[in-house]
Amino acid sequence: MPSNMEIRRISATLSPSTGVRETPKVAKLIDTTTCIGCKACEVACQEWNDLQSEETQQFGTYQTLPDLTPNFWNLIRFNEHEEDGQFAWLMRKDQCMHCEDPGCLKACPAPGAIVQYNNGIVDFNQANCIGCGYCISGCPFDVPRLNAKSGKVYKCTLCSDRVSVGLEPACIKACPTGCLQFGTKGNLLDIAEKRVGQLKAQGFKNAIVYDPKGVGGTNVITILAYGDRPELYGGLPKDPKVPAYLGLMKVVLKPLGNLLMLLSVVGAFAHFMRFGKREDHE
Amino acid sequence: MANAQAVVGKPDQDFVEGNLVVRHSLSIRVAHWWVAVFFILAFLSGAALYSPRFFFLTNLFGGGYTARQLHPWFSVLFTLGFVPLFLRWVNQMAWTDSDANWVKNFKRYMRYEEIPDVGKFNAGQKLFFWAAVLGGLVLLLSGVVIWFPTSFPLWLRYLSYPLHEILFILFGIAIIYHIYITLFALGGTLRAMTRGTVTKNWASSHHPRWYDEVRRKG
Ligand code: HEM
Ligand code: SF4
Ligand code: SF4
Repeated sequence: MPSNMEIRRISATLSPSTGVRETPKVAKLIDTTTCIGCKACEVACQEWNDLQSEETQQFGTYQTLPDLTPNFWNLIRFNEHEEDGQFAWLMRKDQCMHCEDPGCLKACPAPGAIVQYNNGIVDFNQANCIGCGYCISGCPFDVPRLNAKSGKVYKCTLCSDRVSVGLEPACIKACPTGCLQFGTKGNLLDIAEKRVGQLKAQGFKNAIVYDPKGVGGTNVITILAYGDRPELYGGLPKDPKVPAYLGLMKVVLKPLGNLLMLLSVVGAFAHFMRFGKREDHE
Repeated sequence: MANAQAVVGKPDQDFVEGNLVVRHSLSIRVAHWWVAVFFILAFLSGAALYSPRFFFLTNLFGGGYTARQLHPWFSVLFTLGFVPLFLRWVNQMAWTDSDANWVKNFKRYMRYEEIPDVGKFNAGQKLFFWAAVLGGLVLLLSGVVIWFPTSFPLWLRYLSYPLHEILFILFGIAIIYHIYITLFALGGTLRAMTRGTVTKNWASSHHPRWYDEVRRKG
C-alpha cells in the first residue's frame, strides 16, 4: 500500500497547507490482548532506523528500559495487574501516536521541524529542529526525546521512509502474532471493533479501541481490554488533550501581542507628529 | 553624608559642573548600556521564536539553533547588568506624594507642560523601573523553566510558556516607549545616558526639585 507523502501541516508556517490530493489515512493497530511481549518490534525498530543500542536495565520487570529515549522509539511497557483473583500481564507498545491534531507540531517554533503528511504521519525533520524542546511539553503522550549530543529531538517516524515506497513499518513486519497490523485507518478500525466485540463476549465489558478524540484521534490505535482504565497500560492518559496553553498562545497572545506592539509604534509616531520634540525653557 | 563624600572625594553624580549638571555616573551609564545591549539581543532572539513572522531574525544569530542556544545567555547577562542598576537606583525609586501628583497631571506631561515638584526621577520613570524589576524577575524564572524543560513538572511548564510570552509583549511595548521618549520626544535626554550630563535648562524643566537640591549642595 504505497502512500504519497504530500504535506498537510508544517510547524511555525503561516502559508496554507499544500494538500490537494485525497490520501487515505495510514494507521497502525496495536492489539494489547494478543501481544506476547517478545519485543521483536523493539529490535526491528532499532535495526531499521540504525539506532545505537541502549544498555538494557534490570529494574524488576521484563521491560527493556524504564522509558523511551532519543535512541529508543518503541518500548513495550510491562504491567502486572490483578483483578477478581485473576492475574493479567498488560503489555503495551509505547511510541508516538501520530495524532490527528499534534500538540508537538502546534508547539514547535521552528519552520519545517515538524510536518504532518496528508496520510496522517507526523514526522520530525532534525535538520530544521532548533532543539528548544517545546514539542516535549506540547505532546500529551510525553513522546519526543532530546538527544544531548545532537541537541535535536527524536521519535517514531511510523517508518515514513518505508511507507512512502509501499512497505509496512518495520515493527509490523517483525511481529510474530499479528497483534500489530498496518493499513488504512478505516479498515483497521473495522478490524479493531470486531476484536472489541469478541473481548466483550469473553467478559471484558470495558474493552475499547483507544483513539482519543481530545487529540482529534490518533493514527496509532490500541485495543485495550480494560478500556475504562487506560492508565493501567504504562500510564496511557485517559482523556489526552492538546494542552490548552498552546491555544492561548497561538490564538490569543501572538495576534494580540503583535497588534499591541504595532499600535505602540504607531502611537509613539502619532505623538511625535502632533507634539514634536520637547524643548526646554531658557 | 557631605562629610563622608569630602573624605572619599567628589561624588560621582548629582552636581553642577560649569554649564552642565552631572546626572548619571560613568558606572551607571556603563551598566545601563550593558543592560540595553543584552536586552535587545535577548529581545530579538526571543522574538524570532515567538512568532513565525519574526523567525527571520534567527539569521542575526547564525540560525535557529544558535539563536535558541544564545537567547538564555543574553538574558542572564541582561539580568546580571541589572543588579548594579537596581542597587544604585532602588532608593531613588520610592513612591511619594509628588508622584501621585505627577500621575494626575499625566495628560499635561504628554503635552510637554512642565510639572512642578519632580525629583531626580518622575513617576513614569519609577513605574518603568519597577515594571522592569518585577517583569524581569518573572521573565527570568519562567525562562529558566523553558531553558531546561525536562527538569520541571508539566504544570509549571504549562504556566511558564504563556507567562514568558506575556512578559515579552509587555516589555516590547515598554521598550518602544522608553526608546521613543529618551531618543525622540524629550530633547536633551539621551546625553544623560551617554556623556552623563544634562543642561541646566533641561534639569530645571524636567526635574525641578532635583535641580534645586543639586544647586543647593553647590
Ligand atoms: C533595554 C532595556 C532597557 C532598560 C531595562 C532600561 C532601563 C532604564 C531605566 C530603569 C532608566 C531610569 C528611569 C528612566 O529614565 O526611565 C533608564 C534611563 C535611561 N535610558 Fe534606558 N533602559 C533600556 C534601554 C534603553 C535604550 C535602548 C535607550 C536608548 C536608545 C535608553 C535610554 C535611556 C536614557 C537616555 C535614560 C536616562 C533618562 C534620564 O536620565 O532621565 N535605554 N533606562
Ligand atoms: S525541539 Fe525541535 S521539533 Fe521540538 S519544538 Fe523545538 S524545534 Fe520543534
Ligand atoms: S504523540 Fe506526541 S509526538 Fe506523536 S504526534 Fe502526538 S503530540 Fe506529536
